[in-house]
Amino acid sequence: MKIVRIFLADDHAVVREGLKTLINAQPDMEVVGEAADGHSAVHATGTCQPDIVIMDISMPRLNGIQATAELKRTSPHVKVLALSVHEDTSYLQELMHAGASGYVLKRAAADALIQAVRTVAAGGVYLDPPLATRMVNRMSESAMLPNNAPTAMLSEREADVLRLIAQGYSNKEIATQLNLSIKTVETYKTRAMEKLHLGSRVGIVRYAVRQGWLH
Amino acid sequence: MHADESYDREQMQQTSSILESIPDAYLSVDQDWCCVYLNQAMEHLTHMRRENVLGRDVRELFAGTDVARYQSFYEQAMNQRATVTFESFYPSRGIWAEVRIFPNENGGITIYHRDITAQRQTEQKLRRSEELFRLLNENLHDHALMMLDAGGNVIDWNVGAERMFGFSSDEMLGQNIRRIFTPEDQAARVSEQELQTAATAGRAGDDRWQQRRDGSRLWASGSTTPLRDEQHQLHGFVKLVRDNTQRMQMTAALELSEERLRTALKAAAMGTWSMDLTTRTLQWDAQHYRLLGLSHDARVQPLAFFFQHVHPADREQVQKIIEHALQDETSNTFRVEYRVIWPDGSVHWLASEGSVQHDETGQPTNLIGVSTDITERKRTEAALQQYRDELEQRVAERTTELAQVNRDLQTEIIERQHAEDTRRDLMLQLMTLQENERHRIARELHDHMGQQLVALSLRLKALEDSFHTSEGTLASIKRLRGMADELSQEIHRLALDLRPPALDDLGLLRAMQTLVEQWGEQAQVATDFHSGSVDDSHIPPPVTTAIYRVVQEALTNVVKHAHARHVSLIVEEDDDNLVVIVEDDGIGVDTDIMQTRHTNQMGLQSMQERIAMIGGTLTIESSPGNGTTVFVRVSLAQ
Repeated sequence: MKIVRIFLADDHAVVREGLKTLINAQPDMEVVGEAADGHSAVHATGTCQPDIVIMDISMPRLNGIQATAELKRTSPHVKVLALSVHEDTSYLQELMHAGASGYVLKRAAADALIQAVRTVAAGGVYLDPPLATRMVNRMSESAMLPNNAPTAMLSEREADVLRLIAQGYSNKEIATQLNLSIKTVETYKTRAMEKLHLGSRVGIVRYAVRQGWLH
Repeated sequence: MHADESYDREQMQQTSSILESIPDAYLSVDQDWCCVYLNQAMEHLTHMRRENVLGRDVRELFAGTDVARYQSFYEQAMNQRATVTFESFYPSRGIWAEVRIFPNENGGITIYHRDITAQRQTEQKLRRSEELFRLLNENLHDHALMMLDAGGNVIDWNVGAERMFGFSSDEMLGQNIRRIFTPEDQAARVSEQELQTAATAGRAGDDRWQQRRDGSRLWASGSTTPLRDEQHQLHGFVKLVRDNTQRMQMTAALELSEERLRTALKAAAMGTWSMDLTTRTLQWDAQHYRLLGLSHDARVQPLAFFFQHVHPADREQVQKIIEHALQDETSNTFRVEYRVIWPDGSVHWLASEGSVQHDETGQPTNLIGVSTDITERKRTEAALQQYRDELEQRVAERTTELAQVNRDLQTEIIERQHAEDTRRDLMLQLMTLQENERHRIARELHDHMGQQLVALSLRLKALEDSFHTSEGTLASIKRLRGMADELSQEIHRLALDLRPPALDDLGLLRAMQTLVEQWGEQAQVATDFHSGSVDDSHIPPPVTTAIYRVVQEALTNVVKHAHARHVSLIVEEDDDNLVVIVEDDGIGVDTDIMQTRHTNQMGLQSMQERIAMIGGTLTIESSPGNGTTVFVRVSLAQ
């Protein structure tokens, strides 16, 4: 049985101790080294060559994201499993972008960490399930853009109003620019959104980007 | 005849002596013109001696003389035997003679000469005067010329008199002159008195109202002069008058006007004065004396008398102005206001104005003018001036007050502005401190309590796995882990609320994206985030915090009020402006009503305040049924 060599990077000693206890209790896992800051983690990883680095995000001297990127640059074969208190997809995105193979929430670590280590060790990707769901939602929103709605469906005025809305103008400003009443602008906006099946202002902006109306 | 001759001779002798003694000259010739007699007077008249004349033909004798000029008269008498009378003039002797030629019994003629030279001269004088009188009479149309006899009866009444009095000459001749006198004068016997005066004094003034035929009156002006002969015997009177009614009326009018002037002068407290430049003396009327508090004095006064009463402070000025008027040829008038001191010590203001009078050569001779008491006017002026000064003073004071108030206000405005700035600075500092504190606490929660809980959870897990524990113990450990997990989540939420770590770790855009996503999950509202190509790395921390907090607030409002199905969060960069738009498709509000009623409720004011602190603007656009859009614009230009 291959023993998975694990390196711990966390500035909290108690957390490291807890992790060590949990990991070492596993017959196929071994903590081979640890560090209290990002910089040390990168340096130590170079010498002890672990299979997986369990990386905390909030660390002094080079945080987890930077350390992950650096580590992946120097030791591409070393896998990084991010251990984070941050329950938002932004951190997840940043870390995955930096080269991490998994993202585990600290509060879920006791239950999920061992599973995550085994998945990553096996060459897979582990993401915290709620965060993964959120990521999927975000991707799908971008993917669900109405890309084939013809501009010809819009009247000239409706197109004008949409363009100006996309440019960030208020209805009042648009009314002044086009010499219309605010009510009329609102009507054009509503009608145009219905025609193009746009659900929000962001939808309008994205449509404008596709139409090349912005810059 | 001889006896008769002797008698005759005697008679002739007597007659001759008588004839010789009388001044009349006689010469008798016979029928042959031979001189038979001449008396002494005749000898004197003819410059011939009697011996050379008697017995001679007088025609030959007088040939070539003055007497010969009257030969025709002699012959007439001789031939016609009739008395011929004529007047003759003998230039060689300057004698006028009345000549009477009588035919005598002896066929001859007697020539009688009476010297009438004196008589003749008087007559001539009278004739001349009569002629003049006639001319005068005829030409004096506007003069009445009346001749009266000694008793005052009219003996001549000229055309002028006819016209003047309305009585014709016929009507008046023989009438007493009294007729043209007024009834009251007639009763007072003025006419008689006048004649009396003329008779005794040689002339009587004749200026009085007289009466015309129609009863109307006229002002006759003239004189009555007595007429006397050589013996100074009174023969009558000449009364010469002219109608001066018009002039009289004019004089009366003049007097009236003068009287009015005097009244006016008096009413105006105006005194007249004149100054003789040669003698340097003054003459004032009574009013002028009154102006100086003096009693009237008819005498002329030296100039010094005037100056003596002028206020010492004004003397020089008065002197100067008078001198100037005298020297200035362009303007002959002057006006001067000065004070005079009355004998009782009171001070009065006078204004004198006048003009310079010149003689024919252009030399100034005197100054004349009027003076007025202007004390009252001066007093009014002074009062007015005082009032004006007071008013100006008050205005000035008020202006000063206002200026002070204005300054105070300016200061206050500046102070307030300063205070406002300070307040904003402090608020911003406070906000920053608060954020820092939140950040610190959030870190603390995450880094210490959170990590401790993580460690606890991990330990419990290890305990759970490593030991051979009873089912009861295992269950207890699991429960403890559950509590630790809940606590951990709680701490995380707490930390997140205090200060989202993403804001510091990942920047505004990621933090806001996370915010709106998590908010959407909790609020069950679909969310959209768009950030275009905005680079948030250069956004200053205070701006980041403010925008994040405002968006947080806006989302809270959507949950509370909007009932929205969809929320968009858009971040764009427009030139140097960061534009953040939060839009929902909720029920919307009437922004006008919101301005008043919902402002505080919706935390709009604090949002605006927060954005204002970082130099940005926040506007809300909404209408019922059309959702609500919050626009935040912040300049990133430094």
